[in-house]
Amino acid sequence: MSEMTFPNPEPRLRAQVESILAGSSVPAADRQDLAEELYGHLWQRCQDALAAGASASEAVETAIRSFGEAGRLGHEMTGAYHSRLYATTIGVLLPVVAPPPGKLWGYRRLRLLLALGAIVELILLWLGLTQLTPVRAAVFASGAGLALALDVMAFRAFGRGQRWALRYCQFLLAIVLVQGAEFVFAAPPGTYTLPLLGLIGLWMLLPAMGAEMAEWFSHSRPIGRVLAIGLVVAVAAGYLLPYVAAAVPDPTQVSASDLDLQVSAVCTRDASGGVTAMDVNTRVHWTRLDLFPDGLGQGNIASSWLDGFETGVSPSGGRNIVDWRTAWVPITSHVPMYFPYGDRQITSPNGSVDGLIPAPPPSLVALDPYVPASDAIEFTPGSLHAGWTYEFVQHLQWQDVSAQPEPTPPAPVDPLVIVRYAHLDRLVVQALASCDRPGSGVQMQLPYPWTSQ
Amino acid sequence: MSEQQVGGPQLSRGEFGLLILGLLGRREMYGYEIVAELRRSTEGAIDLPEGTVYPALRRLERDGLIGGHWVEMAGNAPRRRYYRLTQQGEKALAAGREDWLRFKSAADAVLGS
Repeated sequence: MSEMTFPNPEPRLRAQVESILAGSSVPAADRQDLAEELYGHLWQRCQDALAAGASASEAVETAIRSFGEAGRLGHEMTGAYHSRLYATTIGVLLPVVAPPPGKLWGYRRLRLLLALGAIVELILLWLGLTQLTPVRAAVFASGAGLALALDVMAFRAFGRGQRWALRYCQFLLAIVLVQGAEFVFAAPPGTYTLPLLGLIGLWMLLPAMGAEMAEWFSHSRPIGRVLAIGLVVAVAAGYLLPYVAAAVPDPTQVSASDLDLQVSAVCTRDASGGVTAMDVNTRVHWTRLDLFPDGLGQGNIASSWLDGFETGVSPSGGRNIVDWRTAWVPITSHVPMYFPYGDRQITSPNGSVDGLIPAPPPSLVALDPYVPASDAIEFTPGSLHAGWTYEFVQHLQWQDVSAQPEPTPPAPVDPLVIVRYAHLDRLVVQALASCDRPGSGVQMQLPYPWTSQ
Repeated sequence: MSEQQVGGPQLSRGEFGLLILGLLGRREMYGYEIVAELRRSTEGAIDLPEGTVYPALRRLERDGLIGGHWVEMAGNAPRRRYYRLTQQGEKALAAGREDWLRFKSAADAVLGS
């Protein structure tokens, strides 16, 4: 084998090697050695062609031609270094098929769009992870994470001349345009909405649809039907999952079946059989509590919801409540706490304050006759311990108001006690009881006045 | 190794790997030499794009069947990476050869030798 000295084939052969490697995903650590090995092969093939009588340029072309098509070799190289899954997905979507186009109109603008999209997805991912409850956060994060990965991959693929990234850009812009149109059509009659984002989207869509851009992407090879379908599914999942997350039931959060609400009432009657006093006893027992109810990162700082506890009493015929005293006592663990009147705190066994019952009950207050009375308290959801039973004791006393103007005083009727327990804005359980007729909690249909839904 | 085809319509990736092992079983060789030897041994019947030998060599090396080492050349000739069979490669070659002979014998019985 003779050695060629002129013209120097090295630049052309090295360029061919680079072309092969650019179309592959060979790890950086192996890239240089592989490049040298491939170059050595091409170089020797040149020498042999020259020795066989070929001209210098013919020898170079022969070496390159017999070596094989660069794109296919690059793909096979990827398969040799990576798993089959990687080679058939990332290895197809990311190889370089065209060098950066320089000052192609709109090129930087469209890449900026993809970069901004990735930043938005990153922020959404962070918000979802910190603010949502565990299962919903996982669903949300898988969608937002997928969208983020697609944005980042499209950003890289766009700069490498992959046509699928251009299609992805066009898809994003189409969404922006549709949202812009929606703003315009949803504007109240007589008003005008300027769809700024839509106009920006249109401004960016023009280069994305231009002939120059299509020409630059013309070297891109089809990614195949299966991968294309997979990409469409991933894009759809990336945009839909965050919306679906809000509707996904989260088993890490409590449901109505975790709350046992029991209400009983013992009444004192006068000679006519009318109720003059009532001792209402409400027992609350959570079998378990929410796991990260304010999000994995406790980031749901906007949530101002508390657990609410409301007792309502229907009027007792011709009488009105004059005294209402409450106490809130955990009875399971026999913690030394009892707050018949005055400050009403819920404390834990170690003495720390777990919750507050701020509103003092109406006591010795004359209410309008025949009007239902109620008392409500609120406390932070974590105040109650799972497995404990809390007893809420209320003493109600009625007085005869029949002396007040009333054409036909109603016949004595036993008052009805309605106890409602609202857990954040998520569920409401209600129990009804009357004299010697205890009641158990039943989940109420939302929306309920206390809830946000 | 998978049965994906790498070149001619009748040569799977696994068979290609076995042929390379067979050549390296004779002596250590570098990529260009393997291609040339394959072409010469088969009298041109197997004539793949030359570059396809390198992904095949990488797979064999990754699977621990062959090992490579660089050899510096005189003058301005690029250095070469020579490959040789490992112990595991020798076993794989013996097993592959046995399988192939069994297959060949079976095929001969059906198609006639």
